[in-house]
Amino acid sequence: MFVSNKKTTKLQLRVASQSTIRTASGRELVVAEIKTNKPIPPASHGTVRLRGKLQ
Amino acid sequence: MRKFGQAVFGTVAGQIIFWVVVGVMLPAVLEELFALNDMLSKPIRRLAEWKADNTLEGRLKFIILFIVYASPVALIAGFLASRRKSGENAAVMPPYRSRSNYERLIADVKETVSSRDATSELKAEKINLLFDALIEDVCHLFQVQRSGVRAVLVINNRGRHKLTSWRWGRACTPDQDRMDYKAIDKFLETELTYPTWEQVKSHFDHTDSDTLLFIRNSGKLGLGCLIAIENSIDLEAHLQEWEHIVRPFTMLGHMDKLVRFVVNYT
Repeated sequence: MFVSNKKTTKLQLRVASQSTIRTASGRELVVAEIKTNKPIPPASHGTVRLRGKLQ
Repeated sequence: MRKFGQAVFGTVAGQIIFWVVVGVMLPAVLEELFALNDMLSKPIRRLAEWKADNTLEGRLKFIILFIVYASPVALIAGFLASRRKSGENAAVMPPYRSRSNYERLIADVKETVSSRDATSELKAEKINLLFDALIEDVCHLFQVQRSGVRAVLVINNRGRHKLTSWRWGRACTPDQDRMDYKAIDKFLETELTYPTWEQVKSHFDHTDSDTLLFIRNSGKLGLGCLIAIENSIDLEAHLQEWEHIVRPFTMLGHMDKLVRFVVNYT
């Protein structure tokens, strides 16, 4: 009848622009503007150990 | 029975009576133990007198004698081995504790960032100090070279779908850059504050890192940091120490002024 076609899209980060800055100590840092395709989910304290190839 | 136990051990008088009885009885019992000699010797005497006439009996007698002689040796050897093992475990390095005072470093950054007199370079330097300390801890804890570590910092203060990222450390190709961000995608989707990823090379064929560590603050993302390590590390052995190190970092994203500064500075 009414089947939702809405897919769960995965979060994706994409570099919009990039530049290099130098600090007072001479270190070079690469600064980038990142765009995401959807809001980033909040996190709770804890860890997970991922291994090898992921789905 | 429980009441009797309470009466004996729960009162001073009961304890005195108990120890007097034990003190009197124990030496007497020990003195009379020689009466058991005959009874204890019987099985061994029987065994010694056993004429094992045929092959089967001979073998059986040997097995019994072997058990009799080998048992105490095995017990002593086992005891010594367990003592040695516990001694080795005690001699193992104490848990790694960071030499950096992250609370102080974070407070220092916070103070500098909020100061109107501090220059942008000084503020950037303070941020560098903070993250340098983290890289140093990673190198010491997991026994890796500094040249084999890269860090990517992501800050969320540009809007719902925009982040700012800072990268430093090991050199990086554009392809590798993309892989780092893909890894950050995965980590952010775990919705946990310090996920890890081992054997990464089996997922990204051409990646230059086999171990990835990620830290972010709890709640809404303020700040996250990816640490890409060239080789595999013994994460299992150091997971608790790692948790101890990253705990103050997971609060870093809550520092609004730092986040605001980083965004303005870039």
